[in-house]
Amino acid sequence: MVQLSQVTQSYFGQPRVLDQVNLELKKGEFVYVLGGSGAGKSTLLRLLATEERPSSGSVSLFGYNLNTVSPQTLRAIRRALGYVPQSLRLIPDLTVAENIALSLDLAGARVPSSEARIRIADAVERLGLVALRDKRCAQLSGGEAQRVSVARALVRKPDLIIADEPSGAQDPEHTWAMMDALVRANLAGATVIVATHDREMVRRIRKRCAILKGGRLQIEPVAAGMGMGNSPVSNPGVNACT
Amino acid sequence: MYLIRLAGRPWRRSFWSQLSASGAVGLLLILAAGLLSLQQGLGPVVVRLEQSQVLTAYLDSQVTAAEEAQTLDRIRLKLGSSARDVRLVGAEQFLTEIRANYPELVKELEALGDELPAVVPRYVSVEGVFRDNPTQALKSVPGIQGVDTSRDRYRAVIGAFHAFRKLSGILASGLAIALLTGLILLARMNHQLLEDSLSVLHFWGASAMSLRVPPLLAGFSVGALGGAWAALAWWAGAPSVHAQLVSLSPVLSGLASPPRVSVALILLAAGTLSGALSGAWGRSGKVAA
Repeated sequence: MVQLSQVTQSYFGQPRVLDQVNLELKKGEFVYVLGGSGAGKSTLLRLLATEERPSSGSVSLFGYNLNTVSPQTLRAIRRALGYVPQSLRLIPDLTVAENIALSLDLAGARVPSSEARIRIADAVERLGLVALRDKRCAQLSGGEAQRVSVARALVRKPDLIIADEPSGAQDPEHTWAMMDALVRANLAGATVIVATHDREMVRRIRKRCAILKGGRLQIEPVAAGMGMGNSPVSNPGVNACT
Repeated sequence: MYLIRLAGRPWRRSFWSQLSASGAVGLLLILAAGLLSLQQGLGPVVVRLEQSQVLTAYLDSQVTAAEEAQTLDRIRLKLGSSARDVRLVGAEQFLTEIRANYPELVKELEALGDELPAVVPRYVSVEGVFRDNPTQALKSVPGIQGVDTSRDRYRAVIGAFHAFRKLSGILASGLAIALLTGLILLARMNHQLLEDSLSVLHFWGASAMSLRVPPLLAGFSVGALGGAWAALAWWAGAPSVHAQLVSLSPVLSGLASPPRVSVALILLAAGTLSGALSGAWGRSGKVAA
């Protein structure tokens, strides 16, 4: 599903942000990417989300090496992604519902309008956005916008979900709702990668952790703690690490 | 629907820029239309001036007074409808015509008495618009001794009109280039305003065609509004401007009247098309993922 091989990323002669990173994730895994500020979490996620190309090494998604894919294949890969970027990247002119619907419209496969309505309503409800449904995204707070961004990623039922600090501006209640939505998507078969600073969340929802330090990636076993320890996805294997 | 909403963003964020740009589009279009219309309208004027002549056909001294009317009829027959004014100028009438400017000369000629007809020739003055050279035709009329023509009397005016017509074409081309350049620059500015959202759409899988829609519609709206300004101004003002131009000089009496409705529609279409094209192709670069 996801494979990083000897991936190095550096910008304009600066020290390497990522250094010889290897990672392999199978379908249905759930992984946290942890690390301090500037550790390279967002860079790693941007590479996985096809927003960037590595300085060296290769990133493969769904069996396609992103260094060599055609624009058409890249578009197809992106349509199978649910991405929550750190900058959120909502369209401020559109309402919450329209921003979410847009993701579904552009997903490629035609979703019947009745099913689309159900999916959008479900995403809106799960993420506590019912009251904000017809509000323009320009008028949302940071936390609200984050939830819209997550809803937008989940509504198309993607095979791979990549979320960069999705709970950074959330109160505990909404953080839990958001993680619940991500775990449900994972239970439904999606592979989920979440970059976070939130140690409490990692402790409560036990999953594999990939820790970035000095540009190198190291894997830790399932985070010990409480919460969703009995979840079927609580103990997936991370097959490769540096 | 969201593409249309996005297309309206430049109007929401920079309303006065869009409005003034549409005004500039309208102004440039109407100036270009005015110049091209003058260029076209002056065509018949130039042709008329080039072909308008006053012919002076001198009568043979052998032609008697009784034969004068016959000669005039022959000239009329020879030149047909091209001859607008055919008149015989005798010695007496000649003196009357030049008396105001040359009184001394008239006195000297009148002093000749009976010899006056031998000194002052009789001639037929013919004014008209002639496509071909009519002097040969006149020379073949019996009783005509010689023919003079004023063929090149409007040469300076015709030259000026020719120069103006060429200049009009160049100026209209310049205005068209200025119009497209301005619209493309506006489209680039609009594209900057839309870029963040277009990159989101691009990332989420929007096709290249879909990505062109918002900037295309934004350019279309400015161009269409500018075209509408120009069309309205033309429809309302073209007849009175034409009337004023014609009243400036008798030389311009043949200035062709420009079509009112069809040019207004062309202006609307030109504004719309140039706006849409510049919107579609005036992107500042590839949409980033």
